[in-house]
Amino acid sequence: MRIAARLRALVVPMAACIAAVLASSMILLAAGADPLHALGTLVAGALGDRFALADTLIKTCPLLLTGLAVAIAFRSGVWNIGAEGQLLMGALAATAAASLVGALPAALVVPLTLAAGVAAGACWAAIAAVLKVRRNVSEVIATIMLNFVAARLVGFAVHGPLMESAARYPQSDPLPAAARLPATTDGLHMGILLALLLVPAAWFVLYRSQLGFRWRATGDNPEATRIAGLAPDHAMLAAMLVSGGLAGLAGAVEVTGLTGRLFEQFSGGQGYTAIAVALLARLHPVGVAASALFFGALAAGSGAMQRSAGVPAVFVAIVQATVILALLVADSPWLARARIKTSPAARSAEAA
Amino acid sequence: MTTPRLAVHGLAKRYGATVALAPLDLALSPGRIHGVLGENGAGKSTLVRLIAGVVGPDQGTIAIDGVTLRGGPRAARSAGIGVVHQHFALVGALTVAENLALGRPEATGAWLAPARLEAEARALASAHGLDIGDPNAPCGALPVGTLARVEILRALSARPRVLLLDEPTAVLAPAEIDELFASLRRLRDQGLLVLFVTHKLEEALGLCDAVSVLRGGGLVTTVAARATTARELAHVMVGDSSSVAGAARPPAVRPAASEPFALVVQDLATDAGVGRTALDRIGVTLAAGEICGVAGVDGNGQDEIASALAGALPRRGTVVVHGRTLAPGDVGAALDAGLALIPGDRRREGLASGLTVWENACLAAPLLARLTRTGKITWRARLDVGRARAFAADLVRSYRVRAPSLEHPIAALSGGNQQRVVIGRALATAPRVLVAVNPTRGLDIAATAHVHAMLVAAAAAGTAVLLLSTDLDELAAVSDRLVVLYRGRIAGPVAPSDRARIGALMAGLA
Repeated sequence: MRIAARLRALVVPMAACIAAVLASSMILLAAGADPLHALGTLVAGALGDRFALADTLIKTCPLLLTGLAVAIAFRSGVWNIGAEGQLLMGALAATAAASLVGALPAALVVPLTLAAGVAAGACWAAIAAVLKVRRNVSEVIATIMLNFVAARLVGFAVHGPLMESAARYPQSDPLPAAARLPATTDGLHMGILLALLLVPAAWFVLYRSQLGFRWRATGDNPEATRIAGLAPDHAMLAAMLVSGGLAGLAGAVEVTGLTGRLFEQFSGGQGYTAIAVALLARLHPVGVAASALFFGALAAGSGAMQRSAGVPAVFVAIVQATVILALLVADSPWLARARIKTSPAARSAEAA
Repeated sequence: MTTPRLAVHGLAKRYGATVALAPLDLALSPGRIHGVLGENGAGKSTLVRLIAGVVGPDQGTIAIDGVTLRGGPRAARSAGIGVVHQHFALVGALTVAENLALGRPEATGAWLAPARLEAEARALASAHGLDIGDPNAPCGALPVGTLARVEILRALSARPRVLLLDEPTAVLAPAEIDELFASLRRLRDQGLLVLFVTHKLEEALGLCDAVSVLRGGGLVTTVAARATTARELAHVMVGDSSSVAGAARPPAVRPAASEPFALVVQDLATDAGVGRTALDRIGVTLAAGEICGVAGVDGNGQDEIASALAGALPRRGTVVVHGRTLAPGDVGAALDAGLALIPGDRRREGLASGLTVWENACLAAPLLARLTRTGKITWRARLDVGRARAFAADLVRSYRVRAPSLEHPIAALSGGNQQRVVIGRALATAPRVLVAVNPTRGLDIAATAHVHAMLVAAAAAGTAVLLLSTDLDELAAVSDRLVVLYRGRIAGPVAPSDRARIGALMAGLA
């Protein structure tokens, strides 16, 4: 029975992905495109060769970090919709820090830059967390609003204090070389490895630490957790700080590993996609790795699909959205009822 | 004989092995207020659901003016049954007038005309003499007394022949209750049959023409309100004392003079709130190994006492556990001092239903602390899953919890088995004081007996037990002594076997 439940936890998200791809293909068909050809180029663009695979991993990295951030917050019953803003603040702080500490010994520059990103993300999340715990302000609304503020702050920075010395485009100067993450010629940077290492770390904290236990208990029933003497407020605060820190790290890794500078529209909405990543993963760290890879592959393949099959890359956004819709349908009470009616256990219980 | 307004014949309902309602007959004529009185679990809510059409009966019929009801809530409503549920079903963002039109498309047509809705609301209110204030006020901003009248008007707007009210006074202040009763009497005088479901004796007696008493799913008696007394009703409601064996356990060992009392409570008081009874200068003293029962009809302050002692509710007064004075509102301090709680609402306050059996078995700060290397919970502390599982396995074995495995979510267990986990967890720390609220509510006979054995064993091991219960049989079976809780005040002590006096105190008569 436990095995069946675990299997279900795997099969349902997969089925949701397949259903989403099929449903999205209908849209391609209706638009007059050849779905098989389009999907073929998408897969080739994501997994077809070394460069495609590298691109997939590069696109997976921020989704993995922000996906873990969202999963930890949601597990703890804090609805952090602000991974986007926390990522931006992380990137902003990392950019500023890199220019400040760039002259220090090389071994210190990268850790300090990344730490600045983590701290900025955590601080940004702390605003919403403190408002929630102290003043009972909905963290959903607070984090969404802070996303806009963060985007404007980045815009201000690249038009003002962090604008490139040439003062031509709204973007920062390139980061000093010492602040860049080591990378292969394919562009695979250290951040990907770091993100992968954080998957078992997140699992360990969630399932093998007192803190993770408190997080999960708080997310399930804060009142019972309070009666148990386990201060759910503190657990929520901690979850939000860790969540914000992870999202901030994602921003810092993007700027030090991939783009090398900060600019307006720095994030392509990874902080929002992260919510889909975490939900598809059923808020489980290992699942986050898998679903981040799925969404990363979609993002990487979409470019190739646009070039070779002429299907706009936004098609991928349709797939992302339908995945979540399919998942919600699978979890809906309507399907649950149907399942209860058809399961043998329910039939025998009714007969009893 | 004329056809009764409401005729219930052989109506019965079972849930699994539990008889929620044994075959029941009622025949009620119009122009009367009829009370249905009973403790929790007596079958009141099942009867309400059946009459309202929310659930179907296993057998039996319900007829309005001789026409048998068939179908769900909609059929019941069109047959003339208006229901006012315990928890109001009003939309806070809509105005009073809009709420009154809600669910009656025939009243509004395709388009809403605010002026017409308002006029209809005023007409309805004045026709029934119920004051609803401004029909354009949003319901979310109104006091509960007004909401109760809006809810009743909404039921009345369908021109029902029977008005069914389920515990309508639960959230009302005394003055609001008086107003509600005046409205109901007017409706009765207009020829309506009012069915008033409650567990409060004085309300049933003060308002109703006749009262039917339910106990354990069966109808015990129906009496005219004028021909009975609160004392008699209390007696009928809680059962016959002759059916219960007295306390069959040795008296508690008195502590040596040097040993401090396990629990000293003085002048414990809390404020009233929505659905909360104010506690008034509660005083209780318990020695180690003693079981003190607190009898009382539900809603007289049981949950408030438990929450205040556990530090989960702001309070005034002094609480001392084994010589340690507890700070108010500090759950951690209460747990550290050795006070454990078996909450009255297991699902809301006792369990994290999505977590596994073993995780729920460990869901208490002192237990978690024991599972760390340092004996303290810190941010970095590891959770030793092996030891936690071993502890849970031990608990499951010694409290005979029937669970498919430790890895199953606790929600997969039956209520009785969930309760055993909650009790086992509370007792695992060998607490100095155990506060238990209705620990056997919803459990079958075997599980109840087992819970009682656990409480007695805990007391024998030196735990002082404060048992707050609405079940007098339970209190008589395990208590060393008994006090009665009525409207947030303690009365007594009283002998656990003296049913007549307990009943009188529970009704606030002595």
